[in-house]
Amino acid sequence: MRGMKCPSCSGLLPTPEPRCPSCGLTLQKLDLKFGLVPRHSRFLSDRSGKLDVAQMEELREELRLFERKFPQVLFSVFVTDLPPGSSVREYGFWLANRARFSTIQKSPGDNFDLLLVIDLAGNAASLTASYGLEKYVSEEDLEDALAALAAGARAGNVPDGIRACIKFVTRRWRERSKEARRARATGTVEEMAA
Amino acid sequence: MRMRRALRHYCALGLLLCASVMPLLAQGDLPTPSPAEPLFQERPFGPLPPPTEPPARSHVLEDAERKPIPRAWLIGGVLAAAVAFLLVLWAAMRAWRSSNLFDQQYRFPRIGEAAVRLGGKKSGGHSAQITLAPRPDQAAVPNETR
Repeated sequence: MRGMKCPSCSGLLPTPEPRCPSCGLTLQKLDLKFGLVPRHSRFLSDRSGKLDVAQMEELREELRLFERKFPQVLFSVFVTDLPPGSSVREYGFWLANRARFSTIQKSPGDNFDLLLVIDLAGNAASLTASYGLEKYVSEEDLEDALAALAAGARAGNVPDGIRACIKFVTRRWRERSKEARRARATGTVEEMAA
Repeated sequence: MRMRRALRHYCALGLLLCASVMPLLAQGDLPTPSPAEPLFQERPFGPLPPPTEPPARSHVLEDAERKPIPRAWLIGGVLAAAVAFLLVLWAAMRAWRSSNLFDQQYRFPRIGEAAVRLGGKKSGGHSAQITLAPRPDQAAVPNETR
């Protein structure tokens, strides 16, 4: 729980709160804000219509490969054009909870999914981790992955950015997985998030 | 009519006879055939020809005469081969890791029950956000931090 922040106001959440003590955010409020869950697919969804079919197929293949390396983690990418004034971080949090990228129902602690939302209209992106990854992946890891995305998409080439992000996450998550196994072997899993 | 036909027959017979006799007459002018001389004249006990000169020295030197390769070259060659081998190995490792050739899998230990936050059953909002550079197809507008 240490260091968890509200996806809306970035205020610290010292305890598991049903609503943010700073801004009052709840998932239900975001339901009212964003409405119906948009159509999505398991690995890659493009609601903006700006990616061509060949690019999408290549990216799906990379995400499938990622899933083969990390069988617990479903890395989904959602490309969209959000209405002006929307927060992509709020949207990522809402979509990660409301969408069904994975068909398997898991308990919160067993959910290791990862969602990358790219808002092309607002030129912003967010990366949301599920409960299962919280102990192993820090906010800095997520920021670094987004920095890789931004560097890859510098020339406006979003697929290259996504590819760079997948590559970065693969490398970093591999390290984190090894660290977690070592920590588990020495009985220090709880100290990992420090 | 009959006379003409008979005359024609006699002419044809005459021509045939001439044609058959002509080669016999022509043969009389040709020289009589004589046995051909042998192609190789045998000289079984004649004087031996002078011995031919030995062939010129070949450029290929004998092993003993070959100059030894300088040691620096040998070391350089071995080092170059080792570097090339390491480069190939490194490229193969990279390709193997990126394609997950042997299906290596990485897992995270299960953490147990998670503390549900903000009503989210899958994620508690552990996330990060970044502002991307505007795409070239977009009009130049001030970058709004959202």
